[in-house]
Amino acid sequence: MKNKLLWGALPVIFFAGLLIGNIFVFKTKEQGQILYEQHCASCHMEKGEGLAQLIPPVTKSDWLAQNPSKLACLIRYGQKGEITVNGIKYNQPMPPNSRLTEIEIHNLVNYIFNNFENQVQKRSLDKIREDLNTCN
Amino acid sequence: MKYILFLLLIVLFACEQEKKLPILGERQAIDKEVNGKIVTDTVYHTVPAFSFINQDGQTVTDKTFEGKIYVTDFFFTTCPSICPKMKQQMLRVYEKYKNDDRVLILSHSISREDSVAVLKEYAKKINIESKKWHLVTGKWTDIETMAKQYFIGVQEDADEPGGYLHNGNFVLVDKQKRIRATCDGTNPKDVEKFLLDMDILLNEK
Ligand code: HEC
Repeated sequence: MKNKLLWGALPVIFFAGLLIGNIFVFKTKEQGQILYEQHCASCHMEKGEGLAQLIPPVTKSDWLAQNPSKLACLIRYGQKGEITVNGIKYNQPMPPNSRLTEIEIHNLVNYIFNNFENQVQKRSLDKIREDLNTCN
Repeated sequence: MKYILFLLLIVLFACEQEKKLPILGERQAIDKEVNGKIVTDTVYHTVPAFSFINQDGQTVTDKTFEGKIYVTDFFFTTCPSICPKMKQQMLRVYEKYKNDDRVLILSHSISREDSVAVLKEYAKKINIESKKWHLVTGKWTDIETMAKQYFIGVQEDADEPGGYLHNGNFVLVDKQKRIRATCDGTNPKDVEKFLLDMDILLNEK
């Protein structure tokens, strides 16, 4: 009888284990990361390192640290003209992302500020809205 | 148990033997007469003659690659989708064989806007030398024709980001102009294996 109970419990333990394992292995990605992979990683690369003197890094970027209010506009409208990042000059157009919503841009901006070895303060959705109203 | 060991040995042995790359593409059997006897010869797909201009304004032809193996791909400097990844990975090939005279790289631009001057600027920014890595341009239809020869599809398409559609494959060509390996040039793991394939080809007798 006891034995039978034990056998009965085994599958339950097994599946519970699988479930817990799943949670550890497939940590749900935040939206910012998904958007980065979809819209930015092809150029700035998965780890944010960029490419030679063609595409600037978003990793440890001093431009980001100095211009936190400009990222929302840069994402929405792209960027043209010379820009200096970590002492290296870049000059190659970045295309706009006109389809991203304010909330998506908010999530993307904060994902970048908190990852890629950047330590830029989080921006609220209101701030992002303000930023987007001042794009030139 | 003994049986399994035996099988394992066979498998190991089979793996050891495989030190040659396959020859890709269509092949034809052609009957030839040699000393009065009919023998069947296999004719493989080979890359035909071509002529383009590189980032330094020099003419680059099939002769440029005589006696060398080379890696080739198709890209354009303003391509927003897969090209930065491809170039990041091609730079691995460049770095690995920078001082190896047996290897060259040939990247074709498929954009009509990529003039010699634009290619030169691009080469400068990724810090490469034309004696190892040719970035070439030419008549669009010539580029398209060559892409087909390397089994790469290219297309002008206004709906695509950047205006052109192409795949990101790297293609490895041997000294006899035969295609010996391809890989997805945007996939670092695939490129890892491709680099090993290049070594196998270099060691072939
Ligand atoms: C087609 C390639 C491409 C894509 C896609 C792209 N960028 Fe850029 N990005 C560039 C280039 C090139 C520059 C430099 C612009 C210049 O020279 O003026 C740049 C500049 C930047 C900068 C400012 C400099 C720095 O690195 O700190 C940031 C931040 C940035 N991009 C973030 C993003 C984000 C976020 C996305 C996704 C929404 C994105 N980029 C998508 C190519 C790209």
